[in-house]
Amino acid sequence: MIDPSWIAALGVILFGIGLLGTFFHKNGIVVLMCIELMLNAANLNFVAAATHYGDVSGWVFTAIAIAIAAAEVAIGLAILLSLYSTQGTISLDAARELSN
Amino acid sequence: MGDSGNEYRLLMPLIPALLIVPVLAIAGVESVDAAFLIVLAPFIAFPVILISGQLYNGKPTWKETLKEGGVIGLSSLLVSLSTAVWILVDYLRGAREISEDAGGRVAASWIDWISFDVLHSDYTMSSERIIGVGVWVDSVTLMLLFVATFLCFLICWFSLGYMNTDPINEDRNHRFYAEFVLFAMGMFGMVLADNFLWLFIFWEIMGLCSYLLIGFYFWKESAAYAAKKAFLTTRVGDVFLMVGLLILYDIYGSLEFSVIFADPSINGTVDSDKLFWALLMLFIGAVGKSAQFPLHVWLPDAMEGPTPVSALIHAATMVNAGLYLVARMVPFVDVGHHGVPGLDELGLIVAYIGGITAFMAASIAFVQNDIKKVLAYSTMSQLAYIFTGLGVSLWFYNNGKTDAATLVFGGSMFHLFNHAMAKGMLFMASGSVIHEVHHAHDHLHEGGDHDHHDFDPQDMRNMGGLASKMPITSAAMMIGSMSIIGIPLIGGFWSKEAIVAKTWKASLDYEPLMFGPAILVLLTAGMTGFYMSRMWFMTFAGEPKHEVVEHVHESTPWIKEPLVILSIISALGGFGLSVFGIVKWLAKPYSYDLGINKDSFLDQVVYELEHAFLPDDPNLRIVGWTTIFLSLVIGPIFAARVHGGSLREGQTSGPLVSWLVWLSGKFGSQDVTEMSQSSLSEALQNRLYFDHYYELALSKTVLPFATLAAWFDRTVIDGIIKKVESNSVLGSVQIRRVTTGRASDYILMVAVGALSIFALAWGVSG
Amino acid sequence: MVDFEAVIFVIVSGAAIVGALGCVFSARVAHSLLWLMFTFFAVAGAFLMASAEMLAAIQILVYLGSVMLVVQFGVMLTRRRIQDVESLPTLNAISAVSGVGVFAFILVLLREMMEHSMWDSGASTAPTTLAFADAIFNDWTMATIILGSLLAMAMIGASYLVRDERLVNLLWDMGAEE
Repeated sequence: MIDPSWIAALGVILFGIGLLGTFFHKNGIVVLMCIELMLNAANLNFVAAATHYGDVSGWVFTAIAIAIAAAEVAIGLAILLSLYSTQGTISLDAARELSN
Repeated sequence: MGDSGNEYRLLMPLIPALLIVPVLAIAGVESVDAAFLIVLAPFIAFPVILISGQLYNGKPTWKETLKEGGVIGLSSLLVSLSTAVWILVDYLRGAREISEDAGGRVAASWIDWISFDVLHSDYTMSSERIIGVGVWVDSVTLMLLFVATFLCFLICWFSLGYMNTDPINEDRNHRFYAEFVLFAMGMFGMVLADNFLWLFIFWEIMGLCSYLLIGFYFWKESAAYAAKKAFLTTRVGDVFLMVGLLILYDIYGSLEFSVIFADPSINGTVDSDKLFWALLMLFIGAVGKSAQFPLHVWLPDAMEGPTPVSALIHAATMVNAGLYLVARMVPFVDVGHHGVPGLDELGLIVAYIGGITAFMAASIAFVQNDIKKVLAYSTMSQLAYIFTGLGVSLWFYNNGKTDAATLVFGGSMFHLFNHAMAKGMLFMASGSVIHEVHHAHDHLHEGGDHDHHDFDPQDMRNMGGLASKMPITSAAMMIGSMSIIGIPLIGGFWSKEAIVAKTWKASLDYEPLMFGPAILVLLTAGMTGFYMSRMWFMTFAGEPKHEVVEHVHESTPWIKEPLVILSIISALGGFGLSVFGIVKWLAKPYSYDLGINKDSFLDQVVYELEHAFLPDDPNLRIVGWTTIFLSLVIGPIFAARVHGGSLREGQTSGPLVSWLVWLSGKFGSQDVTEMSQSSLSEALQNRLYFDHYYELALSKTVLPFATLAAWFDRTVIDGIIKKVESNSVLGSVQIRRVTTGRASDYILMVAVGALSIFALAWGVSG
Repeated sequence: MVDFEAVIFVIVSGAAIVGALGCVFSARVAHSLLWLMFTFFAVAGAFLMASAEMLAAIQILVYLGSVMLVVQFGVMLTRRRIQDVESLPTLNAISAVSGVGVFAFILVLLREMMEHSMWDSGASTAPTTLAFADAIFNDWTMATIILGSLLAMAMIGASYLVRDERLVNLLWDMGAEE
């Protein structure tokens, strides 16, 4: 078994990449995918800690996070679809009605 | 106005209310534990009446069957009354051991309401129970509780007839009944409270409700003004009361009766000067509530409210609250029971305030023509008697003369009982008169031009000769007046005699300064005889002074029953209860039973009569007979000379009162027009200019300050707030630029925020 | 002696990082999606390396099998042609600064994390799948139930968001005719 800290390091790197992606992309779906990436990175951290301490709670949290990610994707895509049907685009720059 | 026999089927909802107490008793509940029902029942009825009144206003069932909420209020008050009677009976049976150490009380404490930890100056913590929820039941509580529940019930009954047949109240009565029961709740709660904070809370609830009830006809400017005046004047007293309570808390670290009264002197360490100021503040609060000099000005104006309200406030409940508070001061000064010595000035002050008010109010009552105002001043005067008695008793207690103190304390409390019963009945009787005169006037002018504003149904100058039209009311009013005057053997005689005699005893044997109150109460006895007789003669005897009188009928349902019940109690209650030793029982329930204390009933009667008419002390014998002579002979005869007279030819009056009408005509008549134009009379008409001077003083002191405060508020405080407001509007316009609405910008902000938090946490953890 | 586990982990993590970068920097949404799936597959491998076989299975079944499928539908429903080129945004000053900031953040975080004292001591044995099942259905029962209801609510909410107004109007009209 490899050292759990390596897994955590992988999680940090993936998280950073996902964060960068949320900054740069305008496409709603890609942003959503980047958020998924960040969630997965967090999962990696949980698993690393669980393995390190031999405590199963980290696994449970991971499972919960995966389920919540599924819900989040469903809601996010539904929002994007309704945005697409009203605005004709899913570029996040178009959704600016909250401004002012 | 329907068939009165038919009306009583409306009382069906009262049957379940009556069943609550037997059910609880069978279920094995202790009576004192059920005491919360007394407060709870009206408390529940209040929102029920108010909300259903708003929902069902104008619906026939609501109006006819429930009397716009009156029946609901009556049911809740019946629950209170029956519970109170249950507790009273249990107490008298000695269901619970009553010990002298406990001051003859039965207490129940249910929950801690407020308790908190206190950090002392030496940095130790202790947890302190500040306020619990419970009851404190002793003889004084029980007497007042019975008076309050019983009179509230009867007055609510009376209101069914009085309020619901007046078209001016149409669709507004639910407010009246809701405020009524809330007021009743305030009084019950105050009497039952087992600590000063609850007492104060209920005291204020009463103040609020008196404001609402006096201003019931708020569209009348005078009523609105009177309500405001009553509220503000009592408020002055309330502020002092609050200060007094704070000082008490400072001294004892608690406001609970059980803590304070266990040892008011704290092993003799209490600073008597500090306690004196606390008690004086409490007394000023009582003065405000009980309308004593110099805070008496609100009470006559409060007659603007509907008559049942006058009866409620001025006889049954609110004015007695002050007396109750003063009665609660006894443990502080009772040096026989851990009391604090050196407080006898307090007794003197109370007695002097009482004496001055008694005399002043009686003299103003001489010239009032409004039937309710006469009764209002009479109330002030009689309450002042009780204050005098309580003052004397405080003085006696504080000088170790416990026996005399006991007698005059019990006598004062007994006078409260007699006065409440008689005055409640008198107010209701005057309400009956006013109601019928008003209706007769409406009837007379039906269809024609209404001259409502020229005709005052409360003015006694429009009455006269009503004895033939209203037999029950006239008899009731006669008995009530006799009780107030103190005609021997009837009602208030027994208690008033005790007060006057003990005041004189204090002044002759011990304290020359007591001579002031002593002479004032003696004079007032005669004056009471005059103004009460004058009221009766002006209303019921002589020739009718207005055509309306011919059309008066005593026909409204619901009005007569309370009058009859209270007449019987007023007439016989004084003698009966004093034979059963109520005076001593009220002061020392642990030593004396309410019942036969002598060998036989006859012995008891003889003892009481001897005590009343032939006391051992020759001085007191003189005083006693002077009182009787003044109140029985001088006052009524003068009244009869001025206002008496037989009825018009052919008119007959009821058998109970015919002798009085006949007698009143026998003393000839005297023209007092000249006297009534004198400057003294004018001053009395203007209530000795108290209102005038108060207003002058207020306009010189409070108004300029208020103007200044208003200017400060508008320019400085509002100015600052407006500046803040305009600046924050400007700032928000600037800040709003940041919110671009672009999701990626928001993500960036979130990331930066999270990063900062992370950096901070990192830095902190080092 | 080459540590085979370490070699495999380097391969797996390298694949994950490459996939993540590909996801972020590819010009087409469809390519991004494929890269993402690749990353998730690699992450599942990392789970396996941490002896979390159950989680690896969930990752493949739920994430790759279902969630990514949903995203795929989303991509298809919002693009006319899935091969449309999505130009990357111009790198303005803020983005550049934040990119550099994130990069520095990752480096600092990595260093901090690797040197953290928590790695000094720990249990050597990883949890078992049996313990995982036991934990989910005993200690975390309430969380599981709440999670289930949350999912149900999310699905209902999603279907409400994308409901077809025309269909609703049609139903209303039919009701009116009756």
